[in-house]
Amino acid sequence: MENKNKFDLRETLSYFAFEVPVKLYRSIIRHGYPDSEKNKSLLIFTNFFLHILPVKVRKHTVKVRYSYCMGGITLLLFIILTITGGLLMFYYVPSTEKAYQNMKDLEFAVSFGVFLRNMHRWGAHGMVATVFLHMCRVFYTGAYKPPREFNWVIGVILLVSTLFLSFTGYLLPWDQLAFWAITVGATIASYAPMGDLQRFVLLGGNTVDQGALIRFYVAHVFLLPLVTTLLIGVHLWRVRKDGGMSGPPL
Amino acid sequence: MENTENKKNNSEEELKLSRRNLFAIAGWGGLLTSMAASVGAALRFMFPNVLYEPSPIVKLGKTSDYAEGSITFNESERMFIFRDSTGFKVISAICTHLRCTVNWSEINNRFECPCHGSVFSTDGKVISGPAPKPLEWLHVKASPDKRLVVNKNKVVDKNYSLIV
Repeated sequence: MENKNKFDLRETLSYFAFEVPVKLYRSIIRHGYPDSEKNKSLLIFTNFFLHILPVKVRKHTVKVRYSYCMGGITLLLFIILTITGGLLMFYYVPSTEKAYQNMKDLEFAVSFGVFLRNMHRWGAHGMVATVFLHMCRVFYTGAYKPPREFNWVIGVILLVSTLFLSFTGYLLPWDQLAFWAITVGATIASYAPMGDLQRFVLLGGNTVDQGALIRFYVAHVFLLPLVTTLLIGVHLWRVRKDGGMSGPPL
Repeated sequence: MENTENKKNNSEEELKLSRRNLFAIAGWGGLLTSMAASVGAALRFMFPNVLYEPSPIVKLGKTSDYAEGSITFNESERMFIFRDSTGFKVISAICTHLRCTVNWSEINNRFECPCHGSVFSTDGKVISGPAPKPLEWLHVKASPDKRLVVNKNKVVDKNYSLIV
């Protein structure tokens, strides 16, 4: 009995070297080695980052030429845009006096700034393209048909929010292209019913000035990404709930 | 007889508002009302009451600076100043289509919009292009120190002229 209360170096070392890591590993990974059907399934749906993926898919789903992975590429671009955009925010101030200079600094004075800015820029152009191509694929494979019709509606909202993200990002460099694009874009809004009111609330005033810049900035870095992230979650969840990727009848 | 009496009793019971239902209605009603009020307040919040925009009334150069028969383009204020033998007329350079700035074409003697190709005559009328309305003639007057004062929000008839 006396012996047990005594400090045993070997026992303590083996405890920290073997038992603690195993306990830690077991607290995170809660399934056995994936050599059985059950553990293979558990591997996917006990992992937060993998659980949106189906445990099993139909054969045609993994063929690249069925979907060209347009939705997946769109998601990848959205993630790239979120990361690069977040980094650009460290150097960009949404002020009419500083914005253009900050943008130029990113291009000429900040290490890898031009790389990040161009990744953000081309990623944005790419995302608009892949969203449209994804929509075409869904249309041509008839994937909008029941039970997937509601997911098409969510997809349309995601298309619109992608376009709004593009439009709001357009103003941020505060150069001539940006200024006139938003002047024209906001006036297009004024042709809609209650258009002058829409233009006023979009620009936060009557002119494309500081009020408009901060509104477009907040929409670009907060409101629209929030809505888009939420809807992407619902969109992917619905794909799973509607029986995975569409395909020929079983 | 018995059946009808039962029915009567049932309908009376349905009409009776239980304590549980009253609290449920009050709870949901309160929650939804406060949510609607919050949304309404957030929407109203988006419409600013005070604007720090430049004044629509702008002071330009001295009347004597403009040569007779000249057409002067003021880029920052986006307007053309016509000086004829009798006085001044000011026309807005903002295209009525999508608010681009129109150019004065010396060769064609007309206004041309670089964005979507709207063309306006010297008196502002639409010759061609997507513009739905003629260019606006703006109110102009002279200040005591003999300078032009234009009100961009005050549209006048195309025959309006400041006689000097």
